[in-house]
Amino acid sequence: MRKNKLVSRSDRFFDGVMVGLPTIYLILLYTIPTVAGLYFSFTDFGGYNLSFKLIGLTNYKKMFADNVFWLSVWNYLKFYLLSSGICYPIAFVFAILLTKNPRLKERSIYRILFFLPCTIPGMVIGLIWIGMYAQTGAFNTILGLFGVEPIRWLGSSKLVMMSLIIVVVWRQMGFYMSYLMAAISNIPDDIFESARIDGASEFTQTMKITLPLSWDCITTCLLFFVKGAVSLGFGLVYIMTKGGPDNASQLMSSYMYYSISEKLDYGMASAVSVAILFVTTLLSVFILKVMKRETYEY
Amino acid sequence: MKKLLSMLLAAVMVLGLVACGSQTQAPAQTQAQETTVGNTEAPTLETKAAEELKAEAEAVKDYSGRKLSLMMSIGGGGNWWQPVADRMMELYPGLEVEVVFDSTAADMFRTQYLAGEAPDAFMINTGAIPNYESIEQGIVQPVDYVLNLPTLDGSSTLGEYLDMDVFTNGAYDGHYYVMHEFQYLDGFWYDAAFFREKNLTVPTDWNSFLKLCDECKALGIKVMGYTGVEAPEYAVNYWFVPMLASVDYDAYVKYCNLDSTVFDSDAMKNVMEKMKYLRDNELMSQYTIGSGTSEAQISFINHDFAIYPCGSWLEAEMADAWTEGWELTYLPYTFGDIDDKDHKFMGVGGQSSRITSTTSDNLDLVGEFYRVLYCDDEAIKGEVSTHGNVMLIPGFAEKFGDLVDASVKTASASSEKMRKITFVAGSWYPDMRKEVGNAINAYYNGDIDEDAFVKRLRDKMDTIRNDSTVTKYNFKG
Repeated sequence: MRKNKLVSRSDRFFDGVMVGLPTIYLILLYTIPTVAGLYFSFTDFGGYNLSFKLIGLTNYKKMFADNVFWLSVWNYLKFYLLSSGICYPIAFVFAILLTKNPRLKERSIYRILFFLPCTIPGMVIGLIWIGMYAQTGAFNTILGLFGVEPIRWLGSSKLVMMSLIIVVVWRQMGFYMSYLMAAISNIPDDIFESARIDGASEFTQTMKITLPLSWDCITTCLLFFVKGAVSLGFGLVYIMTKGGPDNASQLMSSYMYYSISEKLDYGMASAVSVAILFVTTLLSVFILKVMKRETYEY
Repeated sequence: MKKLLSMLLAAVMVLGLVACGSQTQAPAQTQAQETTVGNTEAPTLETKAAEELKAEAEAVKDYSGRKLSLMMSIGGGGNWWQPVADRMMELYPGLEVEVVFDSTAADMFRTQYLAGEAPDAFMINTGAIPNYESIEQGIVQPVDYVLNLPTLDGSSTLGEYLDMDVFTNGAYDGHYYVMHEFQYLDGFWYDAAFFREKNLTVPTDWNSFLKLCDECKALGIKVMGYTGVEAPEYAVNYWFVPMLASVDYDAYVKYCNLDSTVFDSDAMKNVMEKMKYLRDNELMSQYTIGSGTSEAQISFINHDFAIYPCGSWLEAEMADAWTEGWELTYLPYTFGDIDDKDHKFMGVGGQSSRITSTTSDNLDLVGEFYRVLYCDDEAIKGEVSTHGNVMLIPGFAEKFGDLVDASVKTASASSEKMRKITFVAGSWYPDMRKEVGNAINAYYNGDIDEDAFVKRLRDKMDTIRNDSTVTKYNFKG
């Protein structure tokens, strides 16, 4: 009886620590900054002078009245949908090729090569691709070999967003491919074996087995990218376009940064950050609703 | 029940915050203010008798055991405070002068300021800490006391000694808040050797500028390019606004005072005609619209276009990129009657530093630092050798002119015949400057026409003028 009591106490202590530490971490690094940001969004805090005042909804009114804000919301959604819409199918195809192809012996090397761009910081990526997109950069030089005039990849308001999306797809594809490879690898071989015996083609196996059984992983990747689009998008816009030309590549995160960098208006920036939280939360809920389907156990 | 209670609490919070933000309780920082700045109504500094100045200059000062902390952000000018700091420590043994020179200085400064440990003086890029924002937030100390200090030889006060025109940038509410140490000269830059080689006309007024346009068109050369990614700075500060000023200075004053009737003026129509001419004849390098600073400047060095609007840091910034035979030359905004000084403008951007207000206990040391910076020959040689630009001190050209970059000499040589103007309104109203930059990019991308261009600027100016949370400045010109 006494021995059980001692075990129970230490278990309870262990449980408390295992729950308590993450909770403290969550409160210190997420909850408090979020609440603080929400509070500052109702103030005229400029970032330096601590004698700021509550100004009610003034920051929100100005934000909602600014066409550039709404453009930045639309640009962010466009950025997310197009990036993920292009990136995930490619990642999925490559994941299948590298996982399900028994003749491919160097899959580890390919995996590393595709994953390498993810290890490079976003701003460095931006600097590299500025050179790629330059008037005499790699792309225009190749186009020039075919007699095509140089394209203004970052200077055209019609092309700039797609130019940034290409960078994102190049960078993120390897990351999500690795995730999907892990999910596909976990599917038992006997399911595929049974399908082959029943005469299912590779395409049918992919659509009827691989895709449904890795659906949860795809959903997780899409949710990861909601936040990734905010941070990676900011880095690329800051280095490559500063939101231009004419706000064509302005994202919510870069719009927020402008409030801080040129106007020292932390109150307004906090309001934009609340808007970012709201939009990304809505997007995440939307993704979960759209991607919801029956879970298969194996 | 819980959901209902949560919603009620949220509603109470929102209503409470709305009540706190009612117009009758608008806080000082966001309430509309008006202050007068400008060359004709500069703050009044002290005048002192010669004996008093001499006595003050010759007074023995003991700073041993003390420390002066300074902070600079890394930029095109380099760490020009270090030679001054070294010289100051030579002059005052026992004094420690620390210069923190870092690319993350803006972030460091903010953290230190909030902790009450900010440096005594700082020179951080005004893009990171704008002058007028820092004044409005009470970060910075008035520098009148520095300008009232005697020169090292006691012959005058610093305010009488320095060229004070550019100090209007940083004048606020009857005080100066910003020390300007050297001048960046803004204008058009071109390669004199290239112009000679191609037999191109160096423009001295708008007629000859149009002649240059025709010559370039015949040779298949673009007349102009600019750093499109930084259009609010390059296209606006160094081209659009000075073009407006050189066509009609009064129109420029209206622009700075947010008087949107400027967009109906003949001056604006004149400016739009010139912009349209460049666009219709494909004389503007569209590739630079998507270019950052380095890329645009490399294009300039490669002669992809003839004229580049920029500041006099250009030569130093691209130090390793100039090809042999390049003669970088300054072309001021002389687009009027060549003999009429009122139509010959030299754009001047001061390189400014500010003094921290709330945390500095070393205002006397800061003052002494500036006396050495402006008056000690050894210090001046050290700093000019670093930043390569003109300082705002009398006799600079004769004593130190050889130390400046070659291209800067071409500017300073003609500066005496010019009216110096600073484009302060861009820092007062960053939203206006950004909108103009965006509109210029959109115009040269073919996304909007002239009417839409003018409408955008007018609408933005009206919005800013009617925004009571934006401080309004009264520019006298």
